[in-house]
Amino acid sequence: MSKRTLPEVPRLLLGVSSLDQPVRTTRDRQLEVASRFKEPESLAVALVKGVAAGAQGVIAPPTLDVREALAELNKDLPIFARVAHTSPAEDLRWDHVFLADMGDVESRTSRAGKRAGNAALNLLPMSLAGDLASRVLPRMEREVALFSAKAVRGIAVAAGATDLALAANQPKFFERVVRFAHQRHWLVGFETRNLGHLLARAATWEMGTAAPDFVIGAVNPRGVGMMPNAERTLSEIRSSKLKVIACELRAGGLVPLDEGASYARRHGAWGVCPELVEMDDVPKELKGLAPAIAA
Amino acid sequence: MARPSAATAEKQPSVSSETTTKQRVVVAGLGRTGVDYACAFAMHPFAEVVGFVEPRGDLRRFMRGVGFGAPSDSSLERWLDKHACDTVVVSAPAAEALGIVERAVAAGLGVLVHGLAGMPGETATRIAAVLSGSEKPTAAGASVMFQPTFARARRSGALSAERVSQVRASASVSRVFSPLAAPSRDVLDFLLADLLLLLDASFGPIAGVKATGQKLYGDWLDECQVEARFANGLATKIEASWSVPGYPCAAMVIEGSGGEGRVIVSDDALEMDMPGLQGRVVAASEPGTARFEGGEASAIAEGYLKSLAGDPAANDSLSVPRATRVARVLEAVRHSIQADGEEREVAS
Repeated sequence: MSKRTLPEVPRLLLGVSSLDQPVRTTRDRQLEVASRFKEPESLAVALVKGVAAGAQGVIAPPTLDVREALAELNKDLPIFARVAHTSPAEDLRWDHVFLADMGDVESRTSRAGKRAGNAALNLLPMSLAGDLASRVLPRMEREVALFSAKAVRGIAVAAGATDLALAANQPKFFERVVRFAHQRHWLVGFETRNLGHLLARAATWEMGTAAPDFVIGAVNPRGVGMMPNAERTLSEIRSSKLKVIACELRAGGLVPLDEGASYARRHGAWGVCPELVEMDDVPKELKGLAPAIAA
Repeated sequence: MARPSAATAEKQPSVSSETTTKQRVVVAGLGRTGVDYACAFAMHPFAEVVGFVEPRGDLRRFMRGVGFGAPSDSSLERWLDKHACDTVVVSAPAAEALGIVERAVAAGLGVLVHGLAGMPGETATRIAAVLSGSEKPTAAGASVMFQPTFARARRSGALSAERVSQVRASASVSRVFSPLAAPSRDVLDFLLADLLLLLDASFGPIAGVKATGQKLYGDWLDECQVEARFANGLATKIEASWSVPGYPCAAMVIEGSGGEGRVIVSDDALEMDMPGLQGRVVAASEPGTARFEGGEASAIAEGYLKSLAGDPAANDSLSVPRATRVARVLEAVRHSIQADGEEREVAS
């Protein structure tokens, strides 16, 4: 690895995964937000204004909607690619989504997709090796390549992969993904739906320089989504050496965003990542988080 | 395992899943759901995943590659020749599930069968018959039975035949547009089965159905409309569609009304306007049902361990007779659709 230093872990990220992933909010709210950002231009405006308002990066899945929005802009936004992306419709499959990595038609036919396909081909022998990292890394490589290379600041590993490795107690997965990302000078974060569990296990793993740059998980005053429970999760955040980016700040809509962000910061979160679905006026509400971030 | 009535069970306070010894679990069937079960039990402090059974070598290798080091074999019989366990989680396809259940019951093990309600009626009935001969705990897992707003509605008594006389129910999701949609599944087993489980748990068994269905995008049923007649005389209209755009997750809604007022319950919220039962409860405000979040198995695994510890509500949510009844209702629905909406009795 070259000695080029990695960027600082951001304090404020903007998440756009809620546009196509199940999230803890009402159905009406999710439909409303999806409708609001249906046109690429409207999503592009929200993203660029969000970055102008202080978001240091956008956690973006490599979906067509997001890529079309980014293509509307004449400058690159700092992107943290949310990989390995999976669709909710994977529940139609019998097999596990990471059993095979066949790629998708969309990514093979688009111009960026050809670059992505070539990237994945380079890693093909690795995908036959059998361990989880070997199965998932080619997928990640291909998905990151769907974004402008200049825009990518890092990757956010999707919870589906993180939590599988967590349950199997596999520090090697985390180490290999971190090395993979750091070799490319990307920051690497791991999204999890089980923040307390992950921090507890990570404390027992000796990862040294291959430790994640940050982890992303639910932190909010109501304890919604904080696994195994709010008390244990807060305790793990306090004692962990890992930087925590708090998400699900509004507890599924039960508390205001600034209250959730202040709570997360007060309890030791390094930064916060509000989702589009948690905001009505993206730039205004992101600016409103400045006091919580600075505290 | 004793199975109290729904009304009794839902009014009991919840019991902890803590037991004195760890439940040793074997997962049989390593598809997506089997992996979910492995994760859920592996992360539970009162359970231990001690093995895997799967005839497909690529799936066994996948589990090893992921990092689950417990021994695996191609059949439960071969696995049990070398190892011991307390519970077998059957997450295998319906065609394989019966044989695994028979072997597990013969070995005197607890059995948790996933997706029994969505299996063909005959298979579900045969599995239930085998399970009824077991002296060990038996359970049928479906995550919808642990959905917090519906559980709260049943627990409160708002969603019950005593309180409502008119019922409508619907289920919607976006799946048919996915390239993964295939003729091996349709809206009945993918979606309607879950809604029928909720209706059975709230209002009791369905005795007869009149149903119509539409194949809009291929050779499989995409939408259906069912008029269901419950054994207690209550009638309901049910709609299910997996071709509704913008629904990444299944949305279930049950509306009930009667002389005492009305109740609307969905995955989002429970709204009650009845004497002694007023107000709105949103899903996020309900206490979590699992210690690990991931896939559809987490709440079921927690419920199973709670049922072993004597929790009557968890026990009721895992009812094998109910899941079997629903499998038979699905079969009656299919027959009614084939007969252009003629009424069909549900086999008992």
